[in-house]
Amino acid sequence: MANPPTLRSPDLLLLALTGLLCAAGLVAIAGATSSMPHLESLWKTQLKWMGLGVVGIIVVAVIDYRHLLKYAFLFYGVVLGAAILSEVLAGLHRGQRALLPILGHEVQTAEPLKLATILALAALLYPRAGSIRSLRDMDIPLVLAAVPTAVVLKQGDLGTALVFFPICFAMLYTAGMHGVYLLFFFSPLAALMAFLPGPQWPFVFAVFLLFLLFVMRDRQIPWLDRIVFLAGNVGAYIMAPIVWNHLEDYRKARLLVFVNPAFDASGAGYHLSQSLIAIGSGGLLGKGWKQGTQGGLQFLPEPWTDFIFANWAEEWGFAGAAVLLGLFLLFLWRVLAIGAGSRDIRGALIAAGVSTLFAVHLLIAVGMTIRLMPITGIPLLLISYGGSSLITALAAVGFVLNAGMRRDKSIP
Amino acid sequence: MNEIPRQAPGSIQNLRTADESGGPRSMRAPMAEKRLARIGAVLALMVAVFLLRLWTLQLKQTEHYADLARENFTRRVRVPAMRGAILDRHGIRLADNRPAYNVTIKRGSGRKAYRQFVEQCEILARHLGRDPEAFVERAKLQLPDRFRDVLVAEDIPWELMLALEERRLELKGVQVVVSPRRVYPYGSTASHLVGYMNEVSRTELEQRQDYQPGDRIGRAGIENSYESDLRGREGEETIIVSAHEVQRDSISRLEPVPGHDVRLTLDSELQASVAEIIEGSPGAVIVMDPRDGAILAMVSYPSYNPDRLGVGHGFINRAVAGVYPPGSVYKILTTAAILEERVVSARTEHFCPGYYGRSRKGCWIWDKRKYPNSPRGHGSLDLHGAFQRSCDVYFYKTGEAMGIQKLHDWAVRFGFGAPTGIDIPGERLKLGNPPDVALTQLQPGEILNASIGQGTVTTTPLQIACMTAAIANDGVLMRPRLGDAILSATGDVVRMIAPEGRDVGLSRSTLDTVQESMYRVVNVLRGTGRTSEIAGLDVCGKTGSAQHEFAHLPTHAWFTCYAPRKNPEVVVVVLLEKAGHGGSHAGPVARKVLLKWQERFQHGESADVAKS
Repeated sequence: MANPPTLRSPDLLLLALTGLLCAAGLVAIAGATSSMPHLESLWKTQLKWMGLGVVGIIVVAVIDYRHLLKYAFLFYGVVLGAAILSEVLAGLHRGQRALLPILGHEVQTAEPLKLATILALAALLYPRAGSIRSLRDMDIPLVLAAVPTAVVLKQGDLGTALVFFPICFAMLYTAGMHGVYLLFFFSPLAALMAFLPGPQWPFVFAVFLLFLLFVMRDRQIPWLDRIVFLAGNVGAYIMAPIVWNHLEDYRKARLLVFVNPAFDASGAGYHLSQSLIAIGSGGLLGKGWKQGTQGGLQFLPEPWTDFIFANWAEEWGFAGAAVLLGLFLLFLWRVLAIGAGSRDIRGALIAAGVSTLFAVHLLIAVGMTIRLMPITGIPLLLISYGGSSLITALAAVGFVLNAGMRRDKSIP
Repeated sequence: MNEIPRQAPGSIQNLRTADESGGPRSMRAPMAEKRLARIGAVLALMVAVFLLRLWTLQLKQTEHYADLARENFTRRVRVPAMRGAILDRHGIRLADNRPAYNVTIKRGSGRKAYRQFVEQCEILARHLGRDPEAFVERAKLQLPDRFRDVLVAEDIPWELMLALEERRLELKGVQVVVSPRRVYPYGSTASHLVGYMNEVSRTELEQRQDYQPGDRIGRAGIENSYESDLRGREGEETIIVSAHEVQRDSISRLEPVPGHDVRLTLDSELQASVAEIIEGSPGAVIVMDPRDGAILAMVSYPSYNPDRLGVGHGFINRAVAGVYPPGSVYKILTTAAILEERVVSARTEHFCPGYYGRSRKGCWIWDKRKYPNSPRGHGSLDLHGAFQRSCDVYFYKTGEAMGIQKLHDWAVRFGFGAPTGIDIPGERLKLGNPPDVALTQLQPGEILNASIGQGTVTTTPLQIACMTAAIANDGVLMRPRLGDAILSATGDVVRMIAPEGRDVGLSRSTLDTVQESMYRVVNVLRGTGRTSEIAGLDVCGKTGSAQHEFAHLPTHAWFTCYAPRKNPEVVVVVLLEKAGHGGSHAGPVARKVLLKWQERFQHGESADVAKS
């Protein structure tokens, strides 16, 4: 006889934090569009989507998440199919890429794909938790992340494509993967060494490989995996310049500008320097709501979506930016805490996936405005204007609430 | 067996649960809690890094970015200052500004804006009666310059300006901009004196910090010499622009300071009359007041029209830059010199047989082809006679006796060999008479030529005028000037331009003698300058027929004079290139000029005594 799960009330703190962040988003959008009369009602549209999203949360949270997870693969398949379909349609009759017309609205197919991947991974890893010992054990999860990445890349959205693998790693780690593998998964970034000028870098790369070998000395790690990772790193090191040559010019420009903003001051560098100017000139307390000169005078591109953080930092200053980041951090912590208090590993997995989802968006959307990341278009979840991303984000919150409502102990 | 154990308190470790699909599943989830915590720690680290970076940007470097932000969206726009006018002595405008209407089109971005731009160009072209295609092509050349409105038409007619204003709402982005344009109402009459303007050059930009590329600067004449008074100071406006250079608000404005007007000593009516008189004969006429050096008229023919530059020639102001042998008018200097050096007195007589010296240098009267009815020589003459009839032999003799050095010294005293200092640019030093080299290096035989103003001696008409004025005003060499006063835009005097002069050092008796001689030239029988006699006005003068360096060409005709004899008020110098005999050709011109002067200054408008 199964124990009926206790149904607790939804976590008020997480709700409050989500609400605060959404409200901040409305304030940010209103501020960023204040000087463009034709966009003045953007925040109202966002509010409308918010309402829809709230309904979504309720829908999602009502049904026990463990039950919902049974349909995770189905959901994943449908969303993935939709994404591929939109690509095919785009190829056929020049429809907008990545969008499917549903019920009269253009729906971003990539957004629900993120949530679907989280859920599918949660369902997949649930039986394997604790027994992930080698790459072979990770094969399907990695594929589960790789396919959406490829589809989204085909759609041309690099920013979103970067989201899937980190989510997958975080969830794998939560499911018991050896921490060292995390290092491996991120180490091909060392392929960057292939681009650094100077004769010493190949030598440094060699030392890095030796370091990897050393770190892998734990006997638990199978030899095959070690070889795969070494080969992978070497391969990345060699392939990197080739991949570079195949990059589109504007992507190249963005990367070069990230390294040196002066490189292309009127093109790709323009956005970055405008962003820095906007943020830097905000000072401690900012210029005031709707008083952002960079965003307001159209120097900042799309200040209600991609560069919304820059606009926020300009209007509210360091104080405001810190508050916003603090809110996000609390939010992420709360998600993780709910996951930690979860009844079973699935709740924890969902929490890990959702927090990583929000974190990667935060990392890229904020990082690029302050030149800690190259410029890549990606919305700041809950803040940036955009119905699809907002609803997806709220639905993700809904799932976390769901897990929290079914937990069997208090949240640490 | 099917019992499900109670959940153990604590972490998710050792958790067993049943899911709805049946059957227990054993979950060994090693330290999921701890792992979540670790993930949390990484995220916290990320946020910390962000905060650190933000701290750097927003707190430490905020000034830097605030400056950049300001630069971003503010623009400093120059507000041009109205240039001062150039007036004659009665306030008549010789150089002025008038509004010119230029048409600009705001640039936009995108295909629609471009089409609109082309359409508007075509409309304008049709209004202006120009070929629409060519018009559009020319306008398109400016498109690459992203930061400026496109200037499509300059100085459109007033009616077109009105027509465009009426259609203003239709033609969005088309603007009529008023900009001041320099205009010269008197055209070619006073162009040498007033000057003209053109764009400032690159070297000038380097030297003068207060000029920007595209500025105009005075090039010749008063426009040039009083540039800093005329220019004023431009203002500045700071405006807010958006990313597409759309002007929004003005933040601050520094009003421009209009330039000062320059009032000249010139009488434009007299100037016009004199220009008419000399029309057709290359040469120069100067009318000057010997009491203070004020130039009342200065005409050089041929002239140019400053409103239509680039056409024709006539740029040289012959009055100040034309270099000619003075011929017999130089004898004024020689006479003064030999008197002062006591080589002769007024009564000293010498005999002129028509030639002089071993080389048998001829007196001009010797030439039988030209003067068939005259005797071969002048015969015996005193100084007055020699001067009055312009005998060369008398001056050969006395000049040689005096010596080249003394002649040279006196020449310098009379201002030869140096610029007169007139306040317009373009004066040329007289060739052949530079102070340091000069006459002292001439061969002994050349003193003869120098004494009568031939050979390597050359002067400008202005220098002759100054010399004459020095005799007229009893020995003060005045600095000639065109500028009289600097006035503010409201008419108040900002600064007077003061007369300057220096004493030549002539004794009373020398002055009396020279003045008497000059009187006789014009008013007494046998004087070479009888053609300029005017009843009631005691004109005193000297003729000159200067031999051109190519001796077969006609001589330059000179006449210099002052009037009236008692308390002289005017000096007139006439130089007609290759016109022939001074008395025959230059004299009558001077007479006409003097009559005109009388009209204006003794009986007419300019008959005011005080000029300050």
